[in-house]
Amino acid sequence: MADADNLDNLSNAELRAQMLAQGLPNIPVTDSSRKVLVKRLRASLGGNATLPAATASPKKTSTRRDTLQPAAAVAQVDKLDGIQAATKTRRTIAYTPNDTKEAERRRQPVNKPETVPEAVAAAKPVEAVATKAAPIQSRRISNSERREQIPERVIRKPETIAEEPTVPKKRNNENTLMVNSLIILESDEEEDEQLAQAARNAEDQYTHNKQAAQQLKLSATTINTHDYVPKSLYPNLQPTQEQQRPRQIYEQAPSTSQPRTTLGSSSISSSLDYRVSTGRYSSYVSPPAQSYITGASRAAAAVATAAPLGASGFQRSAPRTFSNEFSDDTAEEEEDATQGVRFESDFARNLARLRAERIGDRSTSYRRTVAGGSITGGRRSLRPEQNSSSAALMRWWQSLDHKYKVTSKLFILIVVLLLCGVYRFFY
Amino acid sequence: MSGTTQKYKNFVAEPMGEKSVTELAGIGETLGGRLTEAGFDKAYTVLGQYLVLKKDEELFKDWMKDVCHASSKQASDCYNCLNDWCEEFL
Repeated sequence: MADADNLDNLSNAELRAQMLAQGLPNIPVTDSSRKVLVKRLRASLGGNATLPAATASPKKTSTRRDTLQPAAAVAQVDKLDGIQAATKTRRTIAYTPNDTKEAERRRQPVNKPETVPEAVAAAKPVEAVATKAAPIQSRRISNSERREQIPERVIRKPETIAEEPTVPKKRNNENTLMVNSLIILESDEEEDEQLAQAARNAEDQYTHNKQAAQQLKLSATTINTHDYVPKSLYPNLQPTQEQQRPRQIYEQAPSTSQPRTTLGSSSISSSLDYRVSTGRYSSYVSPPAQSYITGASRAAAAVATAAPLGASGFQRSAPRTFSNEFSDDTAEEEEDATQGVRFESDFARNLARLRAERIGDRSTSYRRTVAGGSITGGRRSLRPEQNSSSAALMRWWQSLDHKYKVTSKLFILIVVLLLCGVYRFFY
Repeated sequence: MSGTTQKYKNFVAEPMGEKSVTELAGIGETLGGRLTEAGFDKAYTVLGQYLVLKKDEELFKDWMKDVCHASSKQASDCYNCLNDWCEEFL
């Protein structure tokens, strides 16, 4: 307690010097903070027994900071991600043993002795995986604090590695889109464009492949390219060969779907019209029909000079079949196309009437109508779902009006009813 | 914890500016009056003390108890308030 008096009498500077001598943190001694600091100093001077208690707070601060800083650092790393400090990348090593490059990158900063085996690992990437296991574990044990972060890193790592695989994935998606094109019919119109685009891309890709394949097949004499125009000078045999070749391919591809063969050129054109007008199918399915038309018409004409065009037409048609092949409802599609034939002449009127007949089923679900059987109705009934029911009702009413002059009759009926009502009311 | 009180949220939500010392979490009229008597009339003066003590929790709490006879909880609330404010704005 004798010290206490002494301490109280000390100036701020002296007090601070005392504190430093005691190993306490260098805190500025002011009039406001003096009391607290003197208390702390007294506690530390009082004896070693109280020392730990006194030093507890500095310890605490140090620990607190330690915990805080790594957290902040981790946050920064998460932001940067791609550019990784050596210390942080360390954690992920064990989880991504497959990637030799990254593992090497991480290792070099961590341990110099380990870099030597890594040089070997670079030479033999496969073995590197095995060699890594041991050092990683040892390191693991050493820094136990950072284990918490590991799961995050693990998730991230594969992303960088998987960059290449993602490209084929995209293609797969396109294919799936193409395959599921019929499912897409129910989707929003906005998506249709995208889907159509995807389908087109896939088709183009396919055509490209097909072209290459055909070129291989047909050898030098029959090359199906648009540059081929000058070769129209060749004898008639040449183009016919060309036409037959693709046709075989074409017919082989959709072996399951028979109706294709029944399609005439004129009928197809009509079906195309139908699709364009209806909009839903047109975005994706119509191109094949069109291409087929061109191909078929050319084949029917069998004009030697038209060979290049015809060939191109076939080429285009082939991929479409490919796309259709994958769709489950290929047969239905074809039937639909054939139906389109029937309505080609007075399409607008007949379609309207069909819709009118089907209007009762509109409330029923899509699936049911399809499964319901009568395909003519089922398919037609799908269409109005896009349109608002009011528009459909209007059309239905117009068609009825056209046929039965309903308006006038109804008007008469209403008048009669009104008269009856008036009569009843008064008598 | 400390984050639950509205006073704490209000203080930590924005720069303290010229806020009164009573705006600090854990400091009411009574403690505010004592602090004002001791010369700490604004929140930033308390912050200054907090900083002079180098953000040391124990020292700051001791100081609070010494200057305005704050309870442990009040001191703790005030410390958390200032500490979080500093993390946000300092």
